[in-house]
Amino acid sequence: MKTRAAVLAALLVRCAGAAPPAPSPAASPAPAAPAAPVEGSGPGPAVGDRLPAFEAPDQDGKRQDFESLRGKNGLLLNFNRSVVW
Amino acid sequence: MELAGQAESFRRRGIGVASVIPEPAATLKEFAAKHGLDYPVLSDADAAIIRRFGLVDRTFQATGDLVGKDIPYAATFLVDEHGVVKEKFFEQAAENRRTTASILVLQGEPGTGGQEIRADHFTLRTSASNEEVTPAQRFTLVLDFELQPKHHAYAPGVKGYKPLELQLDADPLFELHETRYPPAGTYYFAPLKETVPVFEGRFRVTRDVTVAMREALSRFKDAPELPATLKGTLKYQICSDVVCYPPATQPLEWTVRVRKWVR
Repeated sequence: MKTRAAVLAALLVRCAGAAPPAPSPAASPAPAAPAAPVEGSGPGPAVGDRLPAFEAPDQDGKRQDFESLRGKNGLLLNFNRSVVW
Repeated sequence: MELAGQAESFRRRGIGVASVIPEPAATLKEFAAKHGLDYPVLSDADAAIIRRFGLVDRTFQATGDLVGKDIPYAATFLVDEHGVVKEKFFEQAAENRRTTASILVLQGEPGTGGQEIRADHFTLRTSASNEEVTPAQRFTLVLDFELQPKHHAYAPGVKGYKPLELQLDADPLFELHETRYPPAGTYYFAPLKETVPVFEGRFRVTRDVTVAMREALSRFKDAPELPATLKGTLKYQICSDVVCYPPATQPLEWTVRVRKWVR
């Protein structure tokens, strides 16, 4: 977990250090994002939106899409930044 | 992967579970085997999915191997069987993550640990989404109420009565979030011709807490885990159809273990 520790250390420095660089308007997902977590907001599909179509291989090489992943009551779809954090 | 321990609980509720990670399938195969993951982990090696979803974190300052790679926000979506987003969980601070156990208790699953309190006019069972948490995790404290029939507690915003309120003592180890209440009912009290917002019967109140990373890291020193207690006070007023009792308070506490990432 060396990488994870390094990433978190970098984050700590960011938290502790100078003001973050101003995001460019075109790249910024949300205008003037508040410091506090905002439930249900943020980037990506909003509550009430339909997920965009997606398809990708899983860890066993099997092609998966929404229909192959969902249960009868839906799907929990989790995005991770990498395998270390 | 905290999700690994919770995937079966989602499947029992008819909810499929999957992760998307911007890594090659071979990396994910190794990753899934190492952590014993029993749910699909999708390889988004070319970042096509996270771009289509609008989830690329443009504020992320990559270093080392990550330079030039698109990295997503760590968002979690709970969608219905038609693919429509019912709930979305997203933390502004890049290091923070809501536990999937927290998402489960927000769907009504029972929490873990806690105490049962028998007060004069209600029973309260407290629990938490996780008994063990790591720095930067957001978890949920749970209060399950069962009021006696024909009794009610008051919802926030009520005038002239004491609303239900959970006050937690400040501790730099914990960032406290807003209390979540169920939708309030209305109660019409004919003698005073007043309509007031109330909670009746069985209902659940929750409050999220994030383990403050810097404070946790400064407290660990050589210890692998920290015992931590969240203390607080429940303030409330109960009335029946005929009598109103005076406002009252109930001390509460939750104990969790805060552990380092690596055992």
